[in-house]
Formats: sequence, C-alpha cells, structure tokens
Amino acid sequence: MVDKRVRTLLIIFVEGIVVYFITSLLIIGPLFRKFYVGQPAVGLLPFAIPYVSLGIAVAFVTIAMTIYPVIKFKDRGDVIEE
Amino acid sequence: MLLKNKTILEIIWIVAVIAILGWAAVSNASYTLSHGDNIANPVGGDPEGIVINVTGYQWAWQFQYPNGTISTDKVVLEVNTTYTFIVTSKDVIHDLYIPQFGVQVYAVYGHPNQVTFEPLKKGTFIFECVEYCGEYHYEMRGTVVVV
Repeated sequence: MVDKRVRTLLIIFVEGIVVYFITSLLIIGPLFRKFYVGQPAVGLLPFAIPYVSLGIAVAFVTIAMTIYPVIKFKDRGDVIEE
Repeated sequence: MLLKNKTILEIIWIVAVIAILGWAAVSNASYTLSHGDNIANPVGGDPEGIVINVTGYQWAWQFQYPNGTISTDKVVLEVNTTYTFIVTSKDVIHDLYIPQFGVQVYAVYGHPNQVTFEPLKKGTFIFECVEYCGEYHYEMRGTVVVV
C-alpha cells in the first residue's frame, strides 16, 4: 500500500500532466499559432508550445506540492527550538 | 521523512528530469544547426531570397529595396516570399525585432548582420528596436506590411 503522502505526490504529478495537455492543446497552442505568422517563428512552434506548456505545468506542480500539504495535512514543518 | 526508502520514486524523478532536459537540449541543438540562416549571423555567403538593406539610426529604421527605393519605418513584403535583411547601423547599436516572424537581429555600426525569414500571412505587423539606444529609443518602431 502506497503511503498517503506519496500517493498525494503522485496525484499532483498526474494533475501536472493533465495541466500540460490542457495548456498546450487549449491555451498556448492556439495562442501561438494565431500570433506567429512567419518563418522561422512558425517552424519553432513544435518546440515553443511544449516548452512553454511544460513550464506552466512544472509551475503548477511546484506550487501544488508547496501548498497542498499545508492545506490538507496542516503540515507546517518541525518546530525549531530557539 | 516523506521519501525515506522510496528509491524507485527518486530514480523516476531523476530519470524524468534528465529526459526532459535532454529532449530540450537535443531539440534546441538540432533546430539551431539545421536553420542557421534563420538566426542572425554576420554577413557572408549568398543571401537567400530578396535582399533588403536595413539601416538603424537614431531614431528610425531605413529599408532599401533591391531597386534602390528607400522607405523609413515601414517595409512592404510579399507573402510566401523569402527575404534576407542585411542590417547595420549608422551610429550606436540597435536591435531590430519582428516578434511575429521570430526575427531579431542586432544593428551594429561597421558590422552588418543578416537574417532570412518568410512571411506566411498577409497583414500589418509591428517591428521595433529592442536595444536601448538613446533618448528617443521608443520612437524606433514601425510596421511590416505583408501583401
């Protein structure tokens, strides 16, 4: 049985993958294809769209991993003795 | 600790990061090596397509067509035609940027650079100087009209 917190981490990863596909297919892809209208920009779209979408997905995963444990488990870290 | 004794998870993490960074590096390198003309380079060799000489100066852009016609802050291009801009400067360093074509080339006095591109859609697009070049730097912008 997978640890509850590890499972949470895996769920966040899967959500990150979903965010990647939503971003690249529905937001960044259409936006970039509309904006760029010449070579070499159009030739770079197969790279630019995944790069930017990946950046957004990674940002989502990072933020989710940072704030989710605090909200869900009230995990505020160890108390540091002065 | 959360990930204690989770060796497989750590390996997946490391491999995934290496795979993503490796893919980014390989795709960047392969594109750069195979599309050298689309990246600004010092003038050399036979320029591709129609050559337009571009001169940046404080504070405007001048375009000289192959027939000798000169226009300022406006350039008219034909759709689906390959152009090479040979860009230089009369004074300080400028930087010609046409975002919608993915073109950016430095204008340096005595050091012409060239870049090749091709408009694929009709319309009017903005270009501008993106290297701070003096008090009226913001005036160094104009339009590319693709017909």
